[in-house]
Amino acid sequence: MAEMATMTMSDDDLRARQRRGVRRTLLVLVLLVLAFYLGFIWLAAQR
Amino acid sequence: MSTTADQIAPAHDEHHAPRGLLRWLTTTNHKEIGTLYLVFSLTMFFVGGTMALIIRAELFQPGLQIVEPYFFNQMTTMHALVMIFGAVMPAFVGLANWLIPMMIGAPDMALPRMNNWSFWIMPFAFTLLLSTLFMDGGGPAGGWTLYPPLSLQTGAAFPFVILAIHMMGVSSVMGAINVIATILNLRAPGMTLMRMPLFVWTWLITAYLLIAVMPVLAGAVTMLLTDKYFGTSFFNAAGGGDPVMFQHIFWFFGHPEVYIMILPAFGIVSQIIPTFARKPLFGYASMVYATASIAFLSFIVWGHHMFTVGMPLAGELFFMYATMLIAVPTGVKVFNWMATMWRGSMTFETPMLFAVAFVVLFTIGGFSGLMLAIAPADFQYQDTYFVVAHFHYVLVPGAVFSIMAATYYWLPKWTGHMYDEKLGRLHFWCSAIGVNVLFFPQHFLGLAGMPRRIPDYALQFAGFNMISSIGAFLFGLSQLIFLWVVIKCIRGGEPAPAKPWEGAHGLEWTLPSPAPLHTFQTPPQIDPSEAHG
Repeated sequence: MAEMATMTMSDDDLRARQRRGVRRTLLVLVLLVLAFYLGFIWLAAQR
Repeated sequence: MSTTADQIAPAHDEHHAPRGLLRWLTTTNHKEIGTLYLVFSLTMFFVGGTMALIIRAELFQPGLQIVEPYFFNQMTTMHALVMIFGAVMPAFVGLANWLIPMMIGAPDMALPRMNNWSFWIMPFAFTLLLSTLFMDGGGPAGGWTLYPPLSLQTGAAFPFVILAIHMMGVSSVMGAINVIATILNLRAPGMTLMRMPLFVWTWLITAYLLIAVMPVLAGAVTMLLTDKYFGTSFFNAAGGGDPVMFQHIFWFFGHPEVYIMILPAFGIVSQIIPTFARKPLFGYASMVYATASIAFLSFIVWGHHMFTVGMPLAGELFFMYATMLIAVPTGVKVFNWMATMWRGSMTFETPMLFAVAFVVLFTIGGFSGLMLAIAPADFQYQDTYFVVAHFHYVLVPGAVFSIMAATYYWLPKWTGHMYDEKLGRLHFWCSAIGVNVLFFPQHFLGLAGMPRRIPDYALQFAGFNMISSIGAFLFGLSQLIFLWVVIKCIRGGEPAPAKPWEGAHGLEWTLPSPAPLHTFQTPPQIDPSEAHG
């Protein structure tokens, strides 16, 4: 359904939607990276 | 606040773009950054290759001939770091930069400024790393795995090596974030996930692997740094720490790292074989699921690198069986490539030659990997040349051959010229013969008990070492042919049509050759039958 919606969107709406998606993805991935980095150091420190 | 592709695009309009060096320093264009990555990778390939030739020259005969043992150890360590982080990984990131936006119908990578930054960190990281060879006490010499306590004996170079590794990690992570953000958000309407070319799929999965494990490597080397300079005892038994814990953390990164270097290669081969077999890829969906399965399994097999540290029997059995399980999705892939070729109208242009050699020779590396996965047998193989032979079969005629196949395949699209097919084939045959003469005898050396990472060896190993060194020089020198073919193709040649390969499918072939600087500013219409071939 989401795929069908993008087919009928105007270029401007499509780009705006992509921009929002990129920002969300960036935020989630940066948090993941920090979690893995600090998480592993924390786990090692528990030993 | 992030800056996305469509905000940047007007900023590098050709009329206002800086020229000369500044253009390359400030570019945010995915094709130019892809070129920078590929040129950097080729440079590092020759730097790391020179180190390999120093190693093989020393091992040509028993005894110490050419270099001091400590310098030899620096060469083995640096060769690995340069080839893994400087040659293979940046080559795949370069290919991703060039191809992913064109394959999914996007105007650029999702985060172009970050893209520029992630490339330009690399030359600084490697200048720093290579400069350690000239420092007091020399560069790192304890192996690329940096096991403590040995690695903590590195001299003044130690903090520089750690900083260089952190920089490489930051670059890789930024590249991975960019790839994921691009693929998840910038696909043209109609380009569903299951219509994406296999190269895009394998890179999406690789990028998740990078996100998960590069921070783990960063954590491990941060702890090494604090152990050496800030009085912590993460890996120091005298302070209540455990050196074996470093190995667990390192290989939790290190095994997925192997797949980071091979999954994009699977993607490349899955693009090339259907083109030259003139048939759609057999089992597209199973290829995607097999790639995802391999990625998942790569997180639960790290213990097979450390069977000899003395882990409980249950641990040995778990890691042994989990490792063997990887053969199943890998077998699916090899089967699908063969089924694609089966009764195809095959021709053997240079990209196909490299791709077919990949399938055969990578499988040899896979089989020796299965031998190493057998825990009781691994006690015999551990730290021998058998291991060296195994991972070089996976990485050289595996990853490196796939990069060469990709270069020949997409070079006409990048440069607008056809490469010299005769020279390409000469390069292939010299490389294919050289690589086997170089690495196959190392299996026998390992089985006979020759340890790895030594500059001298017992007399009974002399014959196979001599053959191996001859192969090394043949392989090394034949890469000069590759360099010449690439330079020649950039400088001119027969003009390439938009689709130089009759059987090729995919959006990148709908663009003219050379591909214009800006493409798909308006999203293309996706023809489902053309999507992934």
